[in-house]
Amino acid sequence: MELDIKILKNGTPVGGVTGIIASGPGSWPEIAAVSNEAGILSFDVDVKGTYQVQLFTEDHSDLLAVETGKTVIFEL
Amino acid sequence: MDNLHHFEESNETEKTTDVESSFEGQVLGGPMDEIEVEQVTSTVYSASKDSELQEYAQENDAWFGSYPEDLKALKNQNSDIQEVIIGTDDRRRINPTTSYPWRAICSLVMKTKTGKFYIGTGWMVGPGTVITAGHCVYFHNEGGWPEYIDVIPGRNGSLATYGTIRATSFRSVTGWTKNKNRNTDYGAIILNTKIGNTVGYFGYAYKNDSFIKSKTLNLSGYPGDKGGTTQWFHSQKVKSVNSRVITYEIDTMGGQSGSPVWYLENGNRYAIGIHTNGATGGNSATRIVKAVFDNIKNWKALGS
Repeated sequence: MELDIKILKNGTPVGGVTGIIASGPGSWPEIAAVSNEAGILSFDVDVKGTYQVQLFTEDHSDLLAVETGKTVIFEL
Repeated sequence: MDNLHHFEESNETEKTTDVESSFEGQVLGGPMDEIEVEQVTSTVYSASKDSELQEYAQENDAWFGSYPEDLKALKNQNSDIQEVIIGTDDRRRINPTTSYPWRAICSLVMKTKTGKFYIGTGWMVGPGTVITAGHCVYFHNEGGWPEYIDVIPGRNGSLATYGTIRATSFRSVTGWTKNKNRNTDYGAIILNTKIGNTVGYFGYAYKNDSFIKSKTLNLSGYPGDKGGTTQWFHSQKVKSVNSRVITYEIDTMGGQSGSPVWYLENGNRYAIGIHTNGATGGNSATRIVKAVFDNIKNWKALGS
């Protein structure tokens, strides 16, 4: 199952944003994802449910609730 | 498993450990699930003054033995970061990273065949072999083996003292690539350079439950919440052990997958686990059991 996030700023995809899974059901792989040119980052998890994903840019961080199988579009 | 004990360098069968030695470098200053699989392409290239603290430092890595004041700081450190930080955030930045064992720990940047990017950690196990998590070398939803992994030993922010090695030769086991079994989440990166002869490499071992429970385990890697470019360390006793997984309350974050989980003995460092998972109930590593040990040994030979 995937956790998918698309990151935008003023409607434009933003690359280079680092994301980590901060909490969720069960356990999760401790890999960090970095958004690509399309602003997309994703995680492959084993347990269905809602995860908290923390995004880090140079000057701040945001915590998002992301449900497996759904794409969250996040505007910085 | 718990009663199996061997020495790698001996034919004797009734021993207490199975170990491969570490090497500090030359810088002066099984079952089906364990079948090895590989990427088809080859590498392109590219104590302070008080005795209690002193004792605690000796249980930990030598760095704290050398810098006990940092151990005090470590104990007092706090952070707003939560979740897989269990209790307070006790991670300590390693800076500089140019001494052993820190320079033998590698920042990994993975690009998948689907064009996505990830950050992880690996550790030198031989002259040209890096051990990491299986999920850092094989992405089930992203085209399998990655397009490449950039390996940066001892990375320290923008400093890559030992260079960046672009690797395209990977190994894992079918337990991970076919079955996605958490118990076999481990793999290797084969380099086309012998950077391990410069930065050194970890020893590795498989040990019984009681031994593992008796040790303070060390873990150091490149967490994403710190930018994924700086190395952070923490150590703790084990929380629990099962046949394939070691669980602990060492503070970790995404990006530290693949980090070595090691103990220090007589000045040598032996990895007994490969960090893979976060969880609020305890973070965990793939345990190095005999089958894992044997594969690591084979992969080490590929990079030697």
